[in-house]
Amino acid sequence: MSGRQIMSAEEVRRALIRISHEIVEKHEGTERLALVGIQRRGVPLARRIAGFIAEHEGVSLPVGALDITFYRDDLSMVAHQPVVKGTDLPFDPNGLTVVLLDDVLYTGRTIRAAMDALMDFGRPTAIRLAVLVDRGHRELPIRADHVGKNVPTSRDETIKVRLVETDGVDEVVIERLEPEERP
Amino acid sequence: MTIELEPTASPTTMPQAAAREADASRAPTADAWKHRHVLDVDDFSTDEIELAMRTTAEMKEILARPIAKVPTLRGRSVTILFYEASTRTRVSFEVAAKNLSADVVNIAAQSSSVSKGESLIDTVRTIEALGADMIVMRHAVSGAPYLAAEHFSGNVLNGGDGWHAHPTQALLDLFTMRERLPGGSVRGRKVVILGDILHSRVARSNIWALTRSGADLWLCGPATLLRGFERWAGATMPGSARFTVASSIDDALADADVVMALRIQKERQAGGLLPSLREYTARFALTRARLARAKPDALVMHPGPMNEGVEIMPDVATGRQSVITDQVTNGVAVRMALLFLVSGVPLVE
Amino acid sequence: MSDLEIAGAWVVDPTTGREGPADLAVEDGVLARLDWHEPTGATVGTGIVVAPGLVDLHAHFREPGFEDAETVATGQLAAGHGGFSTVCLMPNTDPPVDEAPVLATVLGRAFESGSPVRVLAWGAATRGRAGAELASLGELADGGALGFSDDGNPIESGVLFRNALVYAAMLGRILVDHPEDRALTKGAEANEGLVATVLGLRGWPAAGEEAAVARDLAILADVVAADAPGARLHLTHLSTAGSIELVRRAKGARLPVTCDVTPHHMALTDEWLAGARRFAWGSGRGNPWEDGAIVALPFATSLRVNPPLRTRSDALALLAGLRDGTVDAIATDHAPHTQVDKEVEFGFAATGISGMETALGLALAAVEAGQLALVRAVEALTTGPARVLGDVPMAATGRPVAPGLVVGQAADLVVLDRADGWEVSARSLRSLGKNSPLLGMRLPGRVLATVAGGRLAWLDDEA
Repeated sequence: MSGRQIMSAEEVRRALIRISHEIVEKHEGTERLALVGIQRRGVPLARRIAGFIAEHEGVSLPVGALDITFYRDDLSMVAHQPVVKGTDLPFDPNGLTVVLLDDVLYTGRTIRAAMDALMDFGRPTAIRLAVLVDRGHRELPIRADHVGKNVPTSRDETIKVRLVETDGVDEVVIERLEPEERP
Repeated sequence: MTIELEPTASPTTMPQAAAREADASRAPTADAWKHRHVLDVDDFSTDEIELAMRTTAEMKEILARPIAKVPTLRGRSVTILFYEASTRTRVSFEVAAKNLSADVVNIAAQSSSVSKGESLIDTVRTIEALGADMIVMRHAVSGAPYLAAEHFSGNVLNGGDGWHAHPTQALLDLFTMRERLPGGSVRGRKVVILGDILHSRVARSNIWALTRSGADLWLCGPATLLRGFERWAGATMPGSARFTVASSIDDALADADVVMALRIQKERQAGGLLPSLREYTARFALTRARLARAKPDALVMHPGPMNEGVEIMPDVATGRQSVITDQVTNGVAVRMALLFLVSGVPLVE
Repeated sequence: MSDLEIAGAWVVDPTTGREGPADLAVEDGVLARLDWHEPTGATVGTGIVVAPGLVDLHAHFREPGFEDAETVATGQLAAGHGGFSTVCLMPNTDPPVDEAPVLATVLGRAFESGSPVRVLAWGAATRGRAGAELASLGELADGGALGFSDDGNPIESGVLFRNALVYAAMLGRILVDHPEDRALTKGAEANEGLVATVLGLRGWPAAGEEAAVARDLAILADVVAADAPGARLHLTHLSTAGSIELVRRAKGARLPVTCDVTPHHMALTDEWLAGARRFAWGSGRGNPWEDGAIVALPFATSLRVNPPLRTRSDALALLAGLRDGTVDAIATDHAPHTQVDKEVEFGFAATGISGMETALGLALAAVEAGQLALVRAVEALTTGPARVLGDVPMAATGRPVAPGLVVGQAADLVVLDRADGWEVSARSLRSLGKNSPLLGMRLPGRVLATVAGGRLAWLDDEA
């Protein structure tokens, strides 16, 4: 397996700052706005963006974590049940605009599951989507509102987002799967 | 409003472990569930018990939601096949399966060696032909779920077999203890199971779950209802702590952290195992006075159904220390967790 | 038949206690030659072995009444495959052999089958094997019964047991008891011990057998002293160390008692119920969990048998009893059952193991493990059971059972290859009863040929 860095720590930081500004701009403020990270790397991303918004807007937005395992549409296809990381939504999403955060947007199935999961907690006014990397190959009609970097990929490639909180380092790497590793 | 999230990652958040997990959600991980069936706790390792506990905690989170239902097992069919009357275990499994959006079919069956109706194997084959993915089974004969598992291509969950095992009960008991004990662990805690141990599948599964979790387990009851357990207590079971067998309720209850009373049945008197239920109550019932020997905040448990006034006094059953209703709620969460975990195990091994 | 010529086989003759290399020839069904080689000093016996045809004191052929589990004819085929040329059938058929006409039917079936395997029979001790009144003992004896047994049931009433013993003695016959104190074994599923406690199986305590053995011996002593010096008691399928010790002491006191053990009680233990698959002599400390010996699922109904499989120390005591002569014979308790009766919940499963074809293999496994000398294992399967039967005449010939390798007489022998083994499977078992816990295992000692009364009862296809 060969890997090539496509975003450095600094590029990740700048992308997240830009997204934090875009979110506020699109929402025309921070009123009734909440961030929800999708387990597992969406959660630190949501916290960091909340941090940037706090810096430039002086407002602390509510942040939640969503585990979408129970909503996946491929549970019957996976070899073993993934380990559940936990959902923690410490606010009522009714009447809020909720921005979902994830590291990579690929088929769109995770986002579909996340929307289903979120709506089991209430009826948000709007759901928006922010991702660090959009690698294409959508299988569902889903589009991100805020994208850190668009990366054209082939299906033989995999995108690894590494974050300090989960992996000890901030970077995005593209890797090519060897034939036997391909799905 | 600022909400600080507790780190939700597992305690093993080392960079390497996380990196491995990053693309491993589609592959078996070190702590992936590998048991196709839940037949007893005896073949679960400490790690696997831990995974079941963690998953149960997630299921409790779902139970706390306004809509306590997730689509996880949508399109899966669960058949609840009970050869013995039971309300609470059957309903608990049914609620658990429905919370996961599974379709549930209930079968109350009859079986005996004398009235040869349809054999268990034929029943299982029929259930499979009707499209069941999972069978939850209760049977009066020890080992019956193993026979079903051998002839069913889906998952079998044991809802209690004879005197042998009641694994979901033991796991819900363990979860309840961990939830309520300071420190969240049973390690080193004195847990007393009190009553008719001989005929109890709850006691047997709890022996595995608790000794594997490092509890200081005591089994207490009339000597006639402890027959054989000294031998087990004296045997070395790898990965399991030793336990103690005692007929002295005073010794057993002294400084206990948890006291679990078991149902005592009237048949024990007719079988010559007890002089009378009255005498049992006088010597072994869990009363307020006896509970005072345990630690002040000792937990009071009972797997139900209770004979209040026989093995446990009503004021103890509903008192400050009782976690009996927690057991019922946690039962649903544990069963959801196990239904979820086995549903991911590949059927061809 | 039949001509057979074997050069350089290892011949075991328990009538003389001699074993060694020899050449032998069967001509027209008669043992024409047996030429012992000069002893070379090397006692091997690891290749082709020839021994007298085996004698089984205790088998169930299920006819009449349960022909889907076994018939006399299929039982005879299984006997040949197992190396047995003589079998003694238990009377728990339907109807039971408690009347002479039923006995005649069973013996007739054996004749009609055309098999040379000699079929002898025990009559019931009590009418309907119900333990209330004596069966037609005199008529059964006249019809050729070897003796009497309610096997499967003990004779619970002490006084009826005493009367059966006295009456059988008058007829010159043996009483065979299945020792079990039913009050102690009510509902029992497995040996009372660690395994049963852990698996939640209802216990069958050793005391349930030993209490009955002690009672039987006390009554026997009383009968011998008071009424019938010629009384003879045979205790079948003893399974506990305590039972063996009781018989050892009784024999020391010169009581006329004999006993047998089954191959499965000698080689297997209750650990197998938990999923262990190792022989008694290789079973560590007897805790399969501690030893990590569990390799199969628990609750295999092929292991449900009465009396139940016991502990390692019990099995080793049976082997010690065989070595010191306390135990007279290995008897199979061959108990074939249909799938319908076995593929059910453990506690509902019929008791019994289809064991006639695996008996020799288990005995040889004990020999290989150094638990038994080859000659002693052969004795326990030939002259041992013959000694139990004593001078009781066989119905067909009027002569007693006398295994041996006698030149000039009709050949009655088994030829086996100890260097070769065979896999126990539903296919390889000739019995209709496929209820063996050894399915899938390889046993030592392939039976190449069994000759009974000068005729072939078995010839290995590949031999």
